[in-house]
Amino acid sequence: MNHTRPAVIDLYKRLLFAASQIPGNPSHLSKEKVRIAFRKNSHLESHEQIKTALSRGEFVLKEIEALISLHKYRAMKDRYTDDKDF
Amino acid sequence: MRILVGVKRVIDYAVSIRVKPDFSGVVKDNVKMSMNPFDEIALEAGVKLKEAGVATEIVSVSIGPEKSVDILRTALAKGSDRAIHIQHDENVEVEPLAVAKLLKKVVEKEQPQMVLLGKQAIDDDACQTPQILSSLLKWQQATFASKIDVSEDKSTAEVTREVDGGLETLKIKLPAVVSCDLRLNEPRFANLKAIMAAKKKPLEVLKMGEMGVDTENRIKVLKVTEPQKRQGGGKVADVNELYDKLKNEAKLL
Repeated sequence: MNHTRPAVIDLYKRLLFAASQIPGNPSHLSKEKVRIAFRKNSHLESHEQIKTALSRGEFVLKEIEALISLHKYRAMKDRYTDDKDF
Repeated sequence: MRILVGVKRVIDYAVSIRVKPDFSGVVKDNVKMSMNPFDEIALEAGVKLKEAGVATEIVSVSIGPEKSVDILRTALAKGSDRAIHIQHDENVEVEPLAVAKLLKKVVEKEQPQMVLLGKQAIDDDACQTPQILSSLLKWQQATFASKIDVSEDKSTAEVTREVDGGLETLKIKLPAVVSCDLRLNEPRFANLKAIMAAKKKPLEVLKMGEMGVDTENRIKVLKVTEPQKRQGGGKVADVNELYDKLKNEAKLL
Protein backbone atom coordinates (compact mmCIF):
# COMPACT_ATOMS: atom_id res chain seq x y z
CA MET A 1 0.00 0.00 0.00
CA ASN A 2 2.76 2.38 0.93
CA HIS A 3 4.32 2.73 -2.50
CA THR A 4 1.36 4.77 -3.81
CA ARG A 5 1.91 7.36 -1.07
CA PRO A 6 4.31 9.63 -3.03
CA ALA A 7 1.96 9.65 -6.01
CA VAL A 8 -0.97 10.60 -3.78
CA ILE A 9 0.96 13.45 -2.15
CA ASP A 10 2.12 14.69 -5.54
CA LEU A 11 -1.44 14.76 -6.88
CA TYR A 12 -2.68 16.42 -3.67
CA LYS A 13 -0.18 19.26 -3.94
CA ARG A 14 -0.81 19.83 -7.63
CA LEU A 15 -4.56 19.90 -7.00
CA LEU A 16 -4.16 22.38 -4.14
CA PHE A 17 -2.09 24.65 -6.38
CA ALA A 18 -4.55 24.40 -9.26
CA ALA A 19 -7.53 24.94 -6.94
CA SER A 20 -6.02 28.18 -5.67
CA GLN A 21 -6.08 29.52 -9.22
CA ILE A 22 -9.71 28.75 -10.06
CA PRO A 23 -11.20 32.08 -11.14
CA GLY A 24 -14.14 33.40 -9.18
CA ASN A 25 -13.90 31.19 -6.12
CA PRO A 26 -12.04 32.34 -3.02
CA SER A 27 -8.96 30.13 -2.99
CA HIS A 28 -9.38 28.80 0.56
CA LEU A 29 -12.81 27.36 -0.32
CA SER A 30 -11.52 25.55 -3.39
CA LYS A 31 -8.62 24.20 -1.37
CA GLU A 32 -10.98 22.97 1.32
CA LYS A 33 -12.89 21.04 -1.35
CA VAL A 34 -9.68 19.26 -2.34
CA ARG A 35 -8.98 18.40 1.29
CA ILE A 36 -12.49 17.00 1.79
CA ALA A 37 -12.20 14.89 -1.36
CA PHE A 38 -8.91 13.40 -0.21
CA ARG A 39 -10.17 12.80 3.32
CA LYS A 40 -13.17 10.93 1.90
CA ASN A 41 -10.84 8.45 0.27
CA SER A 42 -8.37 8.20 3.12
CA HIS A 43 -9.80 4.87 4.28
CA LEU A 44 -8.95 3.16 0.96
CA GLU A 45 -6.74 0.12 1.50
CA SER A 46 -6.54 -1.93 -1.68
CA HIS A 47 -4.04 -1.05 -4.37
CA GLU A 48 -6.70 -1.20 -7.08
CA GLN A 49 -9.01 1.25 -5.33
CA ILE A 50 -6.19 3.73 -4.74
CA LYS A 51 -5.16 3.52 -8.40
CA THR A 52 -8.73 4.26 -9.51
CA ALA A 53 -8.96 7.20 -7.13
CA LEU A 54 -5.63 8.53 -8.39
CA SER A 55 -6.65 8.38 -12.04
CA ARG A 56 -9.90 10.13 -11.18
CA GLY A 57 -7.90 12.82 -9.41
CA GLU A 58 -5.65 13.25 -12.46
CA PHE A 59 -8.75 13.67 -14.60
CA VAL A 60 -10.17 16.34 -12.29
CA LEU A 61 -6.82 18.16 -12.31
CA LYS A 62 -6.79 18.21 -16.13
CA GLU A 63 -10.32 19.63 -16.10
CA ILE A 64 -9.36 22.38 -13.64
CA GLU A 65 -6.31 23.33 -15.70
CA ALA A 66 -8.40 23.49 -18.85
CA LEU A 67 -10.92 25.68 -17.03
CA ILE A 68 -8.24 28.09 -15.85
CA SER A 69 -6.57 28.46 -19.25
CA LEU A 70 -9.89 28.91 -21.02
CA HIS A 71 -10.96 31.58 -18.55
CA LYS A 72 -7.66 33.42 -19.01
CA TYR A 73 -7.83 33.14 -22.80
CA ARG A 74 -11.39 34.47 -22.85
CA ALA A 75 -10.53 37.37 -20.55
CA MET A 76 -7.60 38.37 -22.75
CA LYS A 77 -9.67 37.97 -25.93
CA ASP A 78 -12.46 40.13 -24.53
CA ARG A 79 -10.05 42.84 -23.49
CA TYR A 80 -7.74 42.96 -26.47
CA THR A 81 -9.68 41.82 -29.53
CA ASP A 82 -12.08 44.29 -31.13
CA ASP A 83 -13.42 41.93 -33.73
CA LYS A 84 -15.66 39.61 -31.75
CA ASP A 85 -16.14 36.93 -34.40
CA PHE A 86 -12.47 36.61 -35.31
CA MET B 1 20.56 29.12 -30.75
CA ARG B 2 19.84 31.09 -27.62
CA ILE B 3 16.48 32.75 -26.98
CA LEU B 4 15.89 35.60 -24.57
CA VAL B 5 12.38 35.84 -23.11
CA GLY B 6 11.19 38.91 -21.26
CA VAL B 7 8.67 38.39 -18.47
CA LYS B 8 6.92 41.05 -16.43
CA ARG B 9 5.28 40.78 -13.03
CA VAL B 10 1.85 42.38 -13.23
CA ILE B 11 -1.38 42.40 -11.22
CA ASP B 12 -3.17 39.12 -11.89
CA TYR B 13 -5.66 39.28 -14.75
CA ALA B 14 -8.55 38.08 -12.56
CA VAL B 15 -8.12 40.75 -9.88
CA SER B 16 -10.49 43.72 -10.05
CA ILE B 17 -8.36 46.83 -10.18
CA ARG B 18 -8.88 49.59 -7.62
CA VAL B 19 -7.70 53.16 -8.14
CA LYS B 20 -5.94 54.93 -5.27
CA PRO B 21 -8.09 57.64 -3.63
CA ASP B 22 -5.59 60.35 -4.63
CA PHE B 23 -5.73 59.28 -8.35
CA SER B 24 -1.96 58.73 -8.43
CA GLY B 25 -2.18 55.11 -9.58
CA VAL B 26 -3.73 51.74 -8.78
CA VAL B 27 -3.60 49.81 -5.51
CA LYS B 28 -0.79 47.25 -5.64
CA ASP B 29 -0.49 46.33 -1.96
CA ASN B 30 -1.80 42.89 -0.95
CA VAL B 31 -2.94 42.22 -4.50
CA LYS B 32 -2.29 38.92 -6.26
CA MET B 33 0.52 39.32 -8.78
CA SER B 34 1.40 36.92 -11.58
CA MET B 35 3.21 36.70 -14.89
CA ASN B 36 1.85 38.84 -17.71
CA PRO B 37 -0.32 36.44 -19.82
CA PHE B 38 1.32 37.53 -23.09
CA ASP B 39 4.75 36.89 -21.60
CA GLU B 40 3.55 33.41 -20.65
CA ILE B 41 2.75 32.88 -24.33
CA ALA B 42 6.19 34.18 -25.33
CA LEU B 43 7.84 31.85 -22.85
CA GLU B 44 5.80 28.91 -24.11
CA ALA B 45 6.84 29.77 -27.68
CA GLY B 46 10.49 29.69 -26.59
CA VAL B 47 10.11 26.39 -24.76
CA LYS B 48 8.32 24.88 -27.77
CA LEU B 49 11.22 25.96 -30.03
CA LYS B 50 13.61 24.31 -27.59
CA GLU B 51 11.60 21.11 -27.54
CA ALA B 52 11.59 21.10 -31.35
CA GLY B 53 15.39 21.21 -31.23
CA VAL B 54 15.65 24.69 -32.76
CA ALA B 55 16.76 26.53 -29.65
CA THR B 56 19.36 25.28 -27.21
CA GLU B 57 18.89 27.62 -24.30
CA ILE B 58 16.06 29.77 -22.98
CA VAL B 59 17.05 32.74 -20.80
CA SER B 60 14.29 34.61 -18.97
CA VAL B 61 14.79 38.17 -17.91
CA SER B 62 12.59 40.31 -15.69
CA ILE B 63 12.88 43.92 -14.60
CA GLY B 64 11.07 44.53 -11.37
CA PRO B 65 11.14 44.74 -7.59
CA GLU B 66 12.51 42.00 -5.34
CA LYS B 67 9.33 39.90 -5.58
CA SER B 68 9.75 39.46 -9.35
CA VAL B 69 11.92 36.50 -8.34
CA ASP B 70 8.68 34.48 -7.93
CA ILE B 71 7.78 35.17 -11.56
CA LEU B 72 11.25 34.15 -12.71
CA ARG B 73 11.00 30.91 -10.69
CA THR B 74 7.70 30.22 -12.45
CA ALA B 75 9.43 30.83 -15.77
CA LEU B 76 12.20 28.42 -14.77
CA ALA B 77 9.60 25.82 -13.77
CA LYS B 78 7.89 26.18 -17.14
CA GLY B 79 11.04 25.32 -19.04
CA SER B 80 13.45 28.23 -19.00
CA ASP B 81 17.11 27.31 -18.37
CA ARG B 82 18.43 30.44 -16.71
CA ALA B 83 17.02 33.65 -15.34
CA ILE B 84 18.28 37.20 -14.99
CA HIS B 85 16.62 39.57 -12.56
CA ILE B 86 17.24 43.29 -12.94
CA GLN B 87 16.16 44.58 -9.60
CA HIS B 88 14.83 48.00 -8.75
CA ASP B 89 13.19 49.47 -5.66
CA GLU B 90 9.55 48.94 -4.84
CA ASN B 91 7.19 51.65 -6.20
CA VAL B 92 9.49 52.59 -9.07
CA GLU B 93 7.81 52.72 -12.47
CA VAL B 94 10.10 51.87 -15.35
CA GLU B 95 9.05 53.19 -18.74
CA PRO B 96 9.18 51.13 -21.96
CA LEU B 97 12.17 53.14 -23.22
CA ALA B 98 14.16 52.35 -20.07
CA VAL B 99 13.07 48.70 -20.20
CA ALA B 100 14.22 48.47 -23.82
CA LYS B 101 17.58 50.03 -22.92
CA LEU B 102 18.06 47.57 -20.07
CA LEU B 103 17.08 44.66 -22.30
CA LYS B 104 19.57 45.90 -24.90
CA LYS B 105 22.33 45.64 -22.28
CA VAL B 106 21.27 42.07 -21.53
CA VAL B 107 21.12 41.22 -25.24
CA GLU B 108 24.65 42.58 -25.77
CA LYS B 109 25.90 40.34 -22.98
CA GLU B 110 23.94 37.18 -23.78
CA GLN B 111 24.02 37.40 -27.61
CA PRO B 112 20.67 35.67 -28.23
CA GLN B 113 19.46 34.91 -31.76
CA MET B 114 15.90 35.85 -30.91
CA VAL B 115 14.18 37.97 -28.29
CA LEU B 116 10.64 36.86 -27.49
CA LEU B 117 8.38 39.28 -25.67
CA GLY B 118 4.67 39.53 -24.95
CA LYS B 119 2.92 42.03 -27.21
CA GLN B 120 2.04 44.18 -24.23
CA ALA B 121 1.74 44.02 -20.47
CA ILE B 122 -1.75 43.96 -19.03
CA ASP B 123 -0.98 46.66 -16.45
CA ASP B 124 0.18 49.70 -18.42
CA ASP B 125 -0.75 48.35 -21.90
CA ALA B 126 2.04 50.36 -23.47
CA CYS B 127 2.80 47.92 -26.32
CA GLN B 128 6.12 49.69 -26.98
CA THR B 129 8.97 47.69 -25.51
CA PRO B 130 9.46 45.17 -28.38
CA GLN B 131 9.36 47.90 -31.00
CA ILE B 132 11.75 50.23 -29.16
CA LEU B 133 14.11 47.35 -28.42
CA SER B 134 14.27 46.29 -32.05
CA SER B 135 15.13 49.79 -33.21
CA LEU B 136 17.72 50.26 -30.46
CA LEU B 137 19.37 47.00 -31.51
CA LYS B 138 18.83 47.72 -35.22
CA TRP B 139 17.33 44.22 -35.50
CA GLN B 140 14.32 43.22 -37.53
CA GLN B 141 11.02 42.90 -35.71
CA ALA B 142 7.83 40.92 -36.06
CA THR B 143 5.05 42.03 -33.77
CA PHE B 144 1.77 40.30 -32.80
CA ALA B 145 3.02 36.90 -33.90
CA SER B 146 0.51 34.09 -34.12
CA LYS B 147 2.92 31.55 -35.65
CA ILE B 148 6.72 31.28 -35.65
CA ASP B 149 8.72 29.04 -38.00
CA VAL B 150 12.50 29.14 -37.84
CA SER B 151 14.33 28.02 -40.98
CA GLU B 152 16.64 25.01 -40.81
CA ASP B 153 19.87 26.97 -40.97
CA LYS B 154 18.47 29.30 -38.30
CA SER B 155 19.29 32.42 -40.30
CA THR B 156 15.70 33.42 -41.05
CA ALA B 157 12.25 32.94 -39.56
CA GLU B 158 8.77 33.09 -41.00
CA VAL B 159 6.38 34.82 -38.67
CA THR B 160 2.64 35.02 -39.21
CA ARG B 161 1.24 38.11 -37.56
CA GLU B 162 -2.26 39.26 -36.83
CA VAL B 163 -3.19 42.50 -38.55
CA ASP B 164 -6.53 44.22 -38.99
CA GLY B 165 -8.80 41.93 -40.96
CA GLY B 166 -6.41 39.07 -41.60
CA LEU B 167 -3.00 37.50 -41.31
CA GLU B 168 0.33 38.69 -42.67
CA THR B 169 3.38 36.47 -43.09
CA LEU B 170 6.79 38.05 -42.73
CA LYS B 171 10.18 36.58 -43.45
CA ILE B 172 12.71 38.10 -41.07
CA LYS B 173 16.45 37.73 -40.69
CA LEU B 174 17.66 36.49 -37.35
CA PRO B 175 18.60 37.85 -34.86
CA ALA B 176 15.23 39.52 -34.45
CA VAL B 177 12.70 40.71 -31.89
CA VAL B 178 9.36 38.91 -31.92
CA SER B 179 6.36 39.97 -29.85
CA CYS B 180 3.70 37.35 -29.24
CA ASP B 181 -0.05 37.62 -29.60
CA LEU B 182 -2.77 35.64 -27.87
CA ARG B 183 -3.29 32.88 -30.40
CA LEU B 184 0.32 31.74 -30.73
CA ASN B 185 -0.02 28.83 -28.31
CA GLU B 186 -1.53 27.63 -25.04
CA PRO B 187 0.79 28.11 -22.07
CA ARG B 188 1.42 25.00 -20.01
CA PHE B 189 1.10 24.34 -16.30
CA ALA B 190 4.29 23.50 -14.47
CA ASN B 191 4.21 20.19 -12.62
CA LEU B 192 5.51 19.74 -9.11
CA LYS B 193 8.75 18.11 -10.20
CA ALA B 194 9.57 21.05 -12.47
CA ILE B 195 8.75 23.54 -9.71
CA MET B 196 11.14 21.77 -7.35
CA ALA B 197 13.83 21.55 -10.04
CA ALA B 198 13.41 25.27 -10.78
CA LYS B 199 14.64 26.13 -7.30
CA LYS B 200 18.08 24.81 -8.26
CA LYS B 201 18.35 26.56 -11.64
CA PRO B 202 20.71 29.56 -11.86
CA LEU B 203 19.24 33.03 -11.26
CA GLU B 204 21.43 36.08 -11.65
CA VAL B 205 20.48 39.25 -9.80
CA LEU B 206 21.62 42.63 -11.13
CA LYS B 207 20.86 46.06 -9.74
CA MET B 208 19.14 48.44 -12.14
CA GLY B 209 21.20 51.41 -10.90
CA GLU B 210 24.45 49.62 -11.68
CA MET B 211 23.59 48.79 -15.30
CA GLY B 212 24.87 52.12 -16.62
CA VAL B 213 21.55 52.95 -18.29
CA ASP B 214 19.57 56.16 -18.14
CA THR B 215 16.27 55.03 -16.61
CA GLU B 216 14.91 58.45 -15.80
CA ASN B 217 11.15 58.77 -16.41
CA ARG B 218 10.19 61.07 -19.25
CA ILE B 219 6.45 60.70 -18.90
CA LYS B 220 4.50 62.27 -16.05
CA VAL B 221 1.27 60.56 -15.00
CA LEU B 222 -1.21 63.31 -14.22
CA LYS B 223 -4.22 61.31 -13.10
CA VAL B 224 -5.45 57.73 -13.03
CA THR B 225 -9.22 57.28 -12.94
CA GLU B 226 -11.67 54.42 -13.18
CA PRO B 227 -13.70 54.05 -16.38
CA GLN B 228 -17.13 55.65 -16.29
CA LYS B 229 -19.77 53.50 -14.65
CA ARG B 230 -22.43 52.18 -16.98
CA GLN B 231 -25.86 53.65 -16.28
CA GLY B 232 -28.58 51.10 -15.72
CA GLY B 233 -31.60 50.84 -17.98
CA GLY B 234 -35.18 51.62 -16.97
CA LYS B 235 -38.60 50.11 -17.59
CA VAL B 236 -41.43 51.94 -19.33
CA ALA B 237 -45.08 51.39 -18.43
CA ASP B 238 -46.72 51.81 -21.82
CA VAL B 239 -46.25 52.89 -25.40
CA ASN B 240 -47.01 56.52 -24.70
CA GLU B 241 -44.24 56.76 -22.15
CA LEU B 242 -41.84 55.01 -24.51
CA TYR B 243 -42.75 57.43 -27.28
CA ASP B 244 -42.29 60.35 -24.92
CA LYS B 245 -38.89 59.14 -23.81
CA LEU B 246 -37.69 58.42 -27.33
CA LYS B 247 -38.77 61.86 -28.42
CA ASN B 248 -37.72 64.03 -25.50
CA GLU B 249 -34.86 62.17 -23.78
CA ALA B 250 -33.19 60.23 -26.58
CA LYS B 251 -34.25 62.75 -29.25
CA LEU B 252 -34.56 59.96 -31.79
CA LEU B 253 -37.95 60.90 -33.22
